[in-house]
Formats: sequence, C-alpha cells, structure tokens
Amino acid sequence: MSISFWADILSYIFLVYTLVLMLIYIVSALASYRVIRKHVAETSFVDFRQILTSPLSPKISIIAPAYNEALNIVDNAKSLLALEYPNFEVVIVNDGSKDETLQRLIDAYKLEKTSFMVQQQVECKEIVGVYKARDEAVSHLTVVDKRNGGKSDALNAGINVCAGELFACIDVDCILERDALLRMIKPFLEETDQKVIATGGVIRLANDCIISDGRLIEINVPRNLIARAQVLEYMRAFLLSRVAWANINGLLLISGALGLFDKQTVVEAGGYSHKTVGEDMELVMRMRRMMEERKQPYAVRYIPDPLCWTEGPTSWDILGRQRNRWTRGLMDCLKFHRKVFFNPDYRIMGMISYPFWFLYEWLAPIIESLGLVFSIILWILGIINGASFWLLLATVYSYAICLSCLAIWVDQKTYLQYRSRRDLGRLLLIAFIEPFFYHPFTVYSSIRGNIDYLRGKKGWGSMTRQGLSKPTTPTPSS
Amino acid sequence: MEGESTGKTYTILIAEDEALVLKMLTYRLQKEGFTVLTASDGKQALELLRTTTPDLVITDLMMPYHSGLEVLEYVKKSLSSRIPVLVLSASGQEQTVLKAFSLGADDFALKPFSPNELVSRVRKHLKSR
Amino acid sequence: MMRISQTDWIAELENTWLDSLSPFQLLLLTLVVISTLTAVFLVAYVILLMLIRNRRKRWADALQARIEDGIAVWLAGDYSIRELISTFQGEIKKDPRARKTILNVIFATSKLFRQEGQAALRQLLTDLNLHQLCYKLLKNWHWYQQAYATQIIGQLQLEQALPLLKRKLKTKNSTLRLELITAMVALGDQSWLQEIDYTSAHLSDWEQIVLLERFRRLSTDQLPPFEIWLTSAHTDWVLFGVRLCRHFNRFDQVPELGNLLQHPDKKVQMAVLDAFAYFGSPEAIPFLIRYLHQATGHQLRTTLRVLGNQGDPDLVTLLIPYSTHTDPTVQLSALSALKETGLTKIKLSQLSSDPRYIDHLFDPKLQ
Repeated sequence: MSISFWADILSYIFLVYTLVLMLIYIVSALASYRVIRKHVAETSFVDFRQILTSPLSPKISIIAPAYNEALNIVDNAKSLLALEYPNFEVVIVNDGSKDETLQRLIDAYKLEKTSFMVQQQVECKEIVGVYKARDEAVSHLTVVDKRNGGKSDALNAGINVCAGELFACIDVDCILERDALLRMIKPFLEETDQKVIATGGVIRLANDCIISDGRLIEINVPRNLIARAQVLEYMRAFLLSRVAWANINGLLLISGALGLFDKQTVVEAGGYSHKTVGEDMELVMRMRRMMEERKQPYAVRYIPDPLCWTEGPTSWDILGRQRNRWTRGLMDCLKFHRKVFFNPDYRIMGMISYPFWFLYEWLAPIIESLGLVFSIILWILGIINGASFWLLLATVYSYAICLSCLAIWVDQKTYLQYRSRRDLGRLLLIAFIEPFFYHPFTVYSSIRGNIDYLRGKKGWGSMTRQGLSKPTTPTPSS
Repeated sequence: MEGESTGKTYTILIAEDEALVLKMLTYRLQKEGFTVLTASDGKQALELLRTTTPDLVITDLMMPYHSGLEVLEYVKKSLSSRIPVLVLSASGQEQTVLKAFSLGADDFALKPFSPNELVSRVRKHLKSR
Repeated sequence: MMRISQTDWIAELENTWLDSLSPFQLLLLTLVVISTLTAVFLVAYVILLMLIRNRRKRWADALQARIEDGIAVWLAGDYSIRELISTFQGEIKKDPRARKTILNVIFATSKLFRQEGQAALRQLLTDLNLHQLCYKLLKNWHWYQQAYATQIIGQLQLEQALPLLKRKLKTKNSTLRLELITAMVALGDQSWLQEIDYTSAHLSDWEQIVLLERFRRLSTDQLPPFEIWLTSAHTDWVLFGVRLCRHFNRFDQVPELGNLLQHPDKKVQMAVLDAFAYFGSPEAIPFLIRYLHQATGHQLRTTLRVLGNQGDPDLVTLLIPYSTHTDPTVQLSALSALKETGLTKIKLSQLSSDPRYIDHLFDPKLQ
C-alpha cells in the first residue's frame, strides 16, 4: 500500500464528514425557516396582555446571580422588577461578593433581613441572609446573601429560596425585552400530553445598540469587527440551528443567559452541578436523561423571538477565554453523560443530539485543524497537487459564506432586526472576511480548551469571576 | 359650540400611540371647535408641554418612551394642577389606572370607548375649570 | 500563441485544467460552484427585498393614512356614508389591494368602540362588499388568514357567517379554534357547546387563559352554560369548568366541585382547592376534611392552607397532628393554617420543635 492510497482514503473520510455537516446545516436551516415563519404568524394572533391579566398564569421566579456587580446592580434590578408579568418575583443572589453589591441593594430598596426559613432542596453553600423590602411596590424583590460558591451554587441557592412553579435563570446584566416572560411561558401552557421541562430564548448581541433606562431603543450592527463577527455567528446558531433542534425536541443546551425551567423537575434532577463550567448545558442534559429514564413524555422548547440582549466580548483575549471555557464545559457534559451516546433508550437525545454534539460541536475544530495540517503536509510531500489544496479551502470558504448569507436572509424574511442599508452592508462584509480571521481564532481557542481540559484545568480561568455575568455556553456552531 | 361660544378656543393635547385613535379624536375634537395638539409617544408629548400649556390633556397610559403616567406627572407637578388630565387605558390595567388617580388624573376612559362620551367628558372638565 | 482567439483560450484552459481534475477535485469544484451561486442568489434576494420593502412600505403607509383619515372624518360627521364609500371605491379602482387595507382599518376602528358604533361600521363593510372578502379569507388555505377573518366576523357580528364557522370547528389548529369559539360566543350561538366536546378532548392551559379572558369581557347572560363541563368525560374540559366556576363566583356549584376533589386528575383537584380558597364558604369544609386524609405533597399543603383560611377554631384539633408531619414543608403549612385559625404565637411555639418556623410565620416582611 502506497502513501497516496492512504492519503486518498483519509481525504474521502474528511470529505464525507464535511458533506454530512453541510447537509445537516442546510436541512436544519430550511426547517428553522419554516418553524420561524409559522411562529411569527402564530404570535401575531396572540395578545400577550391576556396572560398579564389572567389569574391562571403560573408564578415565575427570576433568579439572577450577582458577583461583584456593585456598579450596575441597582439599575439591573430595576429593569428586572419592571418586567411585564402578573405574578413574578425577582431573586437576586449575592454570591459572596467582595464589593458593595449587597449594600447597594439594601440602600436602594430599603431592604431588611427576614427570618425566612430556607428549605434545602438542592445543594448550595450556606445562606447568610434573606432580605426583603417593606415597600409594597417592590414586595416582589428578594435578595439572598450567601457564601461564595460559584454560579451554579448561587443558582441553586436561588432555587431553594424561590416560590415560583417555574424559575427563569438569567444573567443579571442582560437586557430582557419587557414581554420576555410572557412569551417564554407560552410553551409551558400549550402542551397537554407532554410536560415542558424547559424553554430557552435567543441571545443577541447588544454591542453598539442604543440602550436607555434598561431598554433597547435602537439596534445596530457593531462597528468592532470581533463583535460584528459574533453577531453573525449568533444569528447562524440561533436562527439556523437551534430552532430546528427544538422542533425535533432534540435541544441539549439552553443558554445560561435566559432560560425558563420547571422547578419541580430541576429539583428532582438535583439542581445545577458544581463540577463543571458548563452548568447550563449539563442541567438540561441531566433533566432530559431523568425524564427518559422515567419514560415520561417531555419536551424542551425554544422561542426564536429575540428576547435577550447581551454585550459580547470585544477583545481577542476575553473572547479566547470565553471559547476556551465553552469547550471545557462541553467536554464535561459529554463526559458525564457518555452513557447516552448512540443509546436507543434515550431516543432522540441518545441517537441524534448527543452524537451531533460529540461529532460536530466538540470534534469539528479538531478535525478541521487536523485536516488543514494534513493537506498541507500532503501538498508539501507532493502527493496532492496545489489545485486540490486550494479547491478544498475554496469549498470550505464558499460554504461558510453560503451559510452566513442564509442566516442574513432568514433574518430579513422574519424578524428584520437589521433593516438599514448600512447594517446589511456591514453584515455582508463580515460574512466574507470572517472566515479569515475570526473563525480560525475560535478554532484555535477551542483547541486550547481541549489542551487545558486534558491538563486538568477547572474553573473559570484567570478572569475567574468576571465571567459570571457573561453567557456561559451559548455555543454558536461554527 | 363650546369652544367658540366662550370667545376663546381651548387647546387640547392628545398623546396616543395608536394612530387611528389619535386621528379619530383629533378630527372629532377639531369639529367641536377645539385646537388640537397631537403627540404619538410620551417623549413628543413632554417636548410639546415644554413649549405650550394646553387647557386639557388626554393621554394614553401605555405608550413607548415615557408612559402616560410620566406625562400626567409632568402636567400636574410642573405646569399646573388645575389643568384637567383624562387618561385612556385598555381594560385590564386597573393597577395603572389607580396609580394615575393617585397622581391626580381627573377622569379616565376605558378602551374600547365611546367618542360621544369622551367629548362630553372633555366639555364637562373644561366647564368646571 | 500570441494570436489565439478567446474561444481557443477557454478550450486551452479546459484541456489543461478541467480534464486533469480527478473525480475528487471535480466534486469539490461542484460544491464550490453550488455554494457560491446560492450565496450570490441570497445576497441578491436580500438586496432586492430591501429596495422593494422601503418603496412598498411608503405606498402602504400612505394608503393606510388616507383610509384612516376618511374613517376619522366620517366618524366626526363631516362625510356622509355615501361620500366615504365613493372615496373608498375610488381607492379600490386605483389598486385592488386597497380592499385588504380598508378591511384592516374598519376592523381596527371597530375594536376601539363599544357596541353602539358597530352597526354603522357593519353597514360600511357590507356596502363596500368587503364581507365577501371576509368569507373568501375564511376559505383561504392559510389558517392565519382564516383566523383573521374569524376575528372580524366575531367583532363585527356578521351573523350570516355562522354556518361557515361551525363547519371549521373540527380544525386541528388551536389558534384558529380559539378564534372560532370566541366569534361564536360573540354571535350568541351556544350550539357549538355540544360539538366542542368531540371536536377535541384537549384544551390546554393556554387556550383556557385566552378563553377565560375573553369570557370575562362578556356580560353574565352572554356566558356559555359552563357548569355542564363539570361532568364532561374529558379532563381538560372539567378543569376549565372548575376554573370558570371560580372566576364567575358560582357558589351554587360547591357540592359538584366538592365531589370533583375525588377526580383522578391532580390539576382538577388543585383547581377545586383554588376555588374553595377563593369562595371561603363553610359548605366546602366537609369535602376538604375528607380530601385531607387522602392528599399528599403539594395537594396536602394547599388543603391545609385552605382549611386554615376558613378561620374556624373547630378545625384546630384536626390540624394539630400535621404540625409534626415528617415532611417539614407540610409542618410549615400546618402551622400557618393554625395561625390563621387564631392560635397565638406561644401556643404555636409549643407545637413546633423548631422555633425558626414560628419566626418565619410571624415575620411581617414575609406576609
């Protein structure tokens, strides 16, 4: 057997891998488009104010963990308290901040310590105090003060204190649309023969958008190229892929920045895990496993409306650490739940979702870089000619652009978030240049994540706790 | 007609984000002989109020950029508490209506409403001024 | 070589390049071409959309403004209905798409008014022959067009459309079904009540919320006789019946509701407890006591609280055993119920092993 024979075989394996990936994306993009169109038509008939006045709306608790957020915590709390929903409470969990986070809240809302009796339902560090206001206008605010234990631990403390049938887990510095809860609750109310255990929402980037009083006034495509590339990346992930996954009930990840959960199911599953930095994805996987093992019909749903806006990193350094962390979180989830890999007992989760995440979310950056290195070696050795090498690159490049254009097209045909000529021009430009600088960097960061993981690095990395406020794993697909 | 008979035309400010309601009220009140100023959101209303002082204000409670409550508060606190303010509200916003009354609103109309009734309320408040 | 024509040059390229490609390379080339063409097509589409959208929007806005002006002037009494109709007919002649816009504006206007204004608008609609457009939309392939037409029919009380609506009741689409039910209630037709039961056994919480909100806008005599649903064979309809009894204060239904505590579905049981908590009527007590002995978990906690809210000192002996229940959440509920029946803080402290419960119960900030 000659080298060129093996080279051929390997080339074809790469090719098949890529073709399957392309096929999955195209199919899911088309499916997503159909679902979004239907969703938009349906919501045009829905008067969400009906939930607002309905005595039948279930109670929702919003859990917002905060660590060293003194600067903005009062404003953030104010915009959370102003959300539109008839029957909700806001639980802000101060995760042992070293700054004045707690004191600022106490001063702003005249909070007083209560003798609240905490029922320990899921594991968390000691709760030092539960604060409430005497003022009727903010009677739906609860502040929990606890010893530092990380984001998962803070969320668990919130679960122990909150009173809602459902709880929303959010990042405290996100900007939520006023009607976010009204829209997110709908899937829970719609089902009759299966139980909705969680609903996720779209995250979009607020860089360069105009914000006033905690509300989004004007949407713009950011000028910063790193942020702009992320806008496109989020559009591809949320508009093209997540919707389709939710449609076949195969969603494994609900972003930590905005998700609504059935509290009972979460408590039964054991709450957020302390063992991983990808706690948001891990929880959904654990809940799904539990429901599958109990053979109860369930669904994880998803709302494609843009409901949550967050600031994306604008420096390579922070972006790199974020992606590094996402990779490690993903690896944890895959490792903890390896049992479901191609396990028919877990139906869609075992046979489709998990293998996809394994093969195409985790392995993709690795295979992509190996493929590149491999082709260069073959080219240098003279086994393949230059034409093959450049054609291979051109295929990947043109396909990436095709997908980006598809995402832009879906946005234009449905939500029309970016309506000016300038915004459209900026998006198209980034679609063409992003594969040269942004994509390689994310692949690089993900490889670094793999290396760090194998070296046994845990936790949030050197930026440690600042990352608390950033979405943990929205993991847009490449 | 009321507006003309007293020899002075009353000025009414309407703040309402639904174009149709705004138009309907404008035509109707103009026909009754009032001078009508219109604002399609809270921000516009506040800007208008900085330059002119109307004789009566009609404001919707749910509007983009500054709610009707803010308009009401501005009229009652910064202009004159004697300017009558009518608030419009959709059903189911009882809490907001209560708040509006606590801020000094003089009357309210629930949507869907009857234009004749609204006009007669406007007249009543202008007369009792 | 210097003098070769253009066709020769292409032939040359094909010879040297395309022919020399392996099947692998050809496949790649095909992929590149397909992706590039798709991308170009999408970009062109998006740009075209952007250009058309602005122009079409300007046109639609102007048209809508003219029609709204017309209606507003007519309502103010400056236009007779004849004048208005001829203006609108002029618009329709210029562009038939104006029909849909006029329909939209009439519908929007109608929603602003109470009953009294509707007759004139209905007159306008039929004079412009737009009710025919409504019926046509009702037969449209898209369910959302049908639902829209249904809304208009209900709002403007187009009674002739009733048979058309009835035929659609079997639809699988829940949004459309909601609109149909709403429209039929608005038209005062109750005969659908018999049919609804077998058109769909299911009625989700969402549908119940929407229907309840719509029923709440009606006067009592317009309401459907919902108490018959209490004996329905379908759980969802029983649940809806219970909820309606609670919200429309049907105290007379307490015995029927009490018996429904024995219904196998937990949601029905909870809805009955909710109704009893709201009614606070002593006739419910025997049913609650019977239920207390069989309830567990969330149902048990709620029953304790409902009993407590009765404020009846006779219940103290019944409630005391639960203050030492193995489940701490049940203990808290029992203590809270005992507090409601009038037991003092000192008495409660004697009952409970853990003083933190008592502190929790008597903290004014946690009320």
